[in-house]
Amino acid sequence: MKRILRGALLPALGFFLWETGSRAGLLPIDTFSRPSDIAQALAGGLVDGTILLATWQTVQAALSGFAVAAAAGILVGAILGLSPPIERTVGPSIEALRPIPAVALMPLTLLFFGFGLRMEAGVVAFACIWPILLVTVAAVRGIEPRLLEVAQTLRLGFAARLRKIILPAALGRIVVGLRVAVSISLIVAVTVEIVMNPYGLGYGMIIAQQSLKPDLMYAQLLWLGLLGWGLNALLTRALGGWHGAFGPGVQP
Amino acid sequence: MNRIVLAASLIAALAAFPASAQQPKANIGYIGAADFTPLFVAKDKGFFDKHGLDATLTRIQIAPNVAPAIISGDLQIGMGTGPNLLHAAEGGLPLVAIAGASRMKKSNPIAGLLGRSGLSIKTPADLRGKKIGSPGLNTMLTEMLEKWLHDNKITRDQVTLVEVVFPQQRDMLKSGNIDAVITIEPFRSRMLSDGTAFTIADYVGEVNPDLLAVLWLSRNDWAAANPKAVQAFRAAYAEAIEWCAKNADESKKILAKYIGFASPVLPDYGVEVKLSDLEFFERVQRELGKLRAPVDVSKLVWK
Amino acid sequence: MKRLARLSGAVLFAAALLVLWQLLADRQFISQAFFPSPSRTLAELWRQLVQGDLWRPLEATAYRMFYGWALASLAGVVLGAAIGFSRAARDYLEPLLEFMRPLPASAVIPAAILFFGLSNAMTVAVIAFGAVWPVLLGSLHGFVSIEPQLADVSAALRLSRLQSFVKIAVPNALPDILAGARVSLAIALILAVVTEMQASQTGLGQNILLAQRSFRSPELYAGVVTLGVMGFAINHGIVLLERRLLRWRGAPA
Repeated sequence: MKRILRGALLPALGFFLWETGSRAGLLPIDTFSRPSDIAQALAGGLVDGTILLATWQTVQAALSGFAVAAAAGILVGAILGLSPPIERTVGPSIEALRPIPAVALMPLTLLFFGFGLRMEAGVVAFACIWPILLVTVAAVRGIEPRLLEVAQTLRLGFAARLRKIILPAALGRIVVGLRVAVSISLIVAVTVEIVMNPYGLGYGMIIAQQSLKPDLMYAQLLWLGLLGWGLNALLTRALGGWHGAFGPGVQP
Repeated sequence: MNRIVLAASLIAALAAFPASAQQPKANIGYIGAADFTPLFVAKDKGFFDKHGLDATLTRIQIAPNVAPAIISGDLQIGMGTGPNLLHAAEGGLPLVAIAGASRMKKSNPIAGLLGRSGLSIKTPADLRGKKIGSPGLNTMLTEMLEKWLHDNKITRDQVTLVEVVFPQQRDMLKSGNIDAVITIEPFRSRMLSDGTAFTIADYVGEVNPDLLAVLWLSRNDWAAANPKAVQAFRAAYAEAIEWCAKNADESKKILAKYIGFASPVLPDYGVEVKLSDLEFFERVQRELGKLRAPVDVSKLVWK
Repeated sequence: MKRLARLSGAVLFAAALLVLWQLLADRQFISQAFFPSPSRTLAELWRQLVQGDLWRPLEATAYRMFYGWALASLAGVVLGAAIGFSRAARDYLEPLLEFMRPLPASAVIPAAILFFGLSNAMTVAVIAFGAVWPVLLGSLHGFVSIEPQLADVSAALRLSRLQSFVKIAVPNALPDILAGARVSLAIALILAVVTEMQASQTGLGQNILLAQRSFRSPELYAGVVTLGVMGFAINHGIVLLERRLLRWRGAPA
């Protein structure tokens, strides 16, 4: 109880000072807005559905990109993990792409896909693939060799081996990479929207800022915080503890 | 036997149907500016339908995003500028100008360089060290300003250019974030009348007294495959321009309906694109080092 | 010898990819407007190197990244230590930080523009906000996870609080802090690019945005390659630094 009260103290104090400071004319309203206006803007956006629609667009783009990254990352990761010769040959070429910041590819995906879902999902997929790929390679390498020998004697094809032996054995560790990727996907999706894609919550914030509605902008920022916080809580509940800010995938 | 005949005639009928009844379609991209009044009039008054073009209008947020949308096929026709088209040609993008949209004339200035009230900027030299808001780096208005600065012996690194979209310019000036701004109607009139800013120069008119401001772009292959659509677009557009000239008040109302705000001053409209219009931009861009090799502008205009 | 054979396989594969790309581009199978051939991209990179166009934006981006990262590291270590050592600080700050952590740093750009204007200060603030979390978590973990034996030692030696902090806690937390700082630096580079695009500040991010708007794809690719090299270099640089600072521990964490 004491912890909850203490935790609520700073935000409450901040909001109180903000509101009173704004009402006393100490904080210019066109920069700071004020908490009561922000709450109103948030409620308005939720009631008329605009914020929910934008949220759906952002989440859709984030999840599409994540899904592509998960499929590609697990497939490529399994191949590289199973075959050291392929890994040695192809690995460095793939590794050369990893340091490229995904956001640097935004202009390129724009030329390629135009605006909308595909462009955004493309950038998200590039950003999300790395933790999944790295964790999958490590996980597949860690599979009991006897299991793979069994697969060999059973003469399973690659697809069957992947489905029946490899994925079940490596899934526990792959999930860690997937979890890191989900958090990244939302962050990257919003970033793409803020910088260039007229789509979703990030775009909504930029438009609110440009049309001089700071209350609406802060309302969407607040909403985004709640969304990320909720997602995190959900993932922690479903998958267990949190492994550092970006997890083992990025901190080898 | 009968069934085969029936099926064949059915297929023939289906095949004939689109050719006779379906109009060519075009998704047309524009931005919120007074340059596109004839576009809205042509749609509103049914001129596109009359000339046989099934036109959909799509508003794009900022101008640099239009060309990629044409290339990716989201749009068939989209607004653009001369410098846009030349950059695209140099980069190997297959775009062509199919019509003009608006012109900027010295006698009717709609764009200009404004300074923040309280600053003393009398000559171009006073701009040295100042921060200038631009509606988009690499846009036509900004490149024309660079040309004007160049003509007045001010180099590009003596001023700082930052991007500030039109609706935000007034606030950014007031807060002192920027010292001057490249702006256009109706934002120009608004900032002048409420005392936020003063005119430093109607620089566009000084650079070129009759400048092709905005034009309509398409992909090469689309324009070549759909000459009827292009002709219909041009004919409808020409008719709309004529209509605007006769019905100034009503066309302002239609403009406000489409872009959400009214504009007291309207630019000049014209559907023609002359080779000399593009040659001017080519020359300026070469002079400023924006084009590295000459571009054959005769290939960039639809014939 | 075996190692050489392995290496040559990787090099051959990479070279084959580039040659294939070059051929497809030369034969016009893929659009030069989207996928300029490697030779055109390299020629553009070479031109920038020779004419000196590369250095100014590179420097601007590096400065921005570094200042944001330094600020983030400082704030992260201080906050991490505070939360790690003081129960009260943890109770007061944790919920707030938990709420702020998942916020995309790019989402605070509009607000940061309102506060700082279109300035370098704005970009540094945004970078620091986004890059603080890995250092903060690393430092928190490092300060919390002091082994009980070490605490006993410090008690036996009758070290003052400050002495035990400097002699025991800091060395113990250093590996975790550095691991966090490495991730932070990568994030700082990403955010430097984003803020340059969003707030028209000079740098590599702005360069690639303008290259796209002028449809100069070789320039765009040259910028992407430069950023990739930069990302690679800073990651390896900080790994080297880690090895130096942690030499007393043997292998890095």
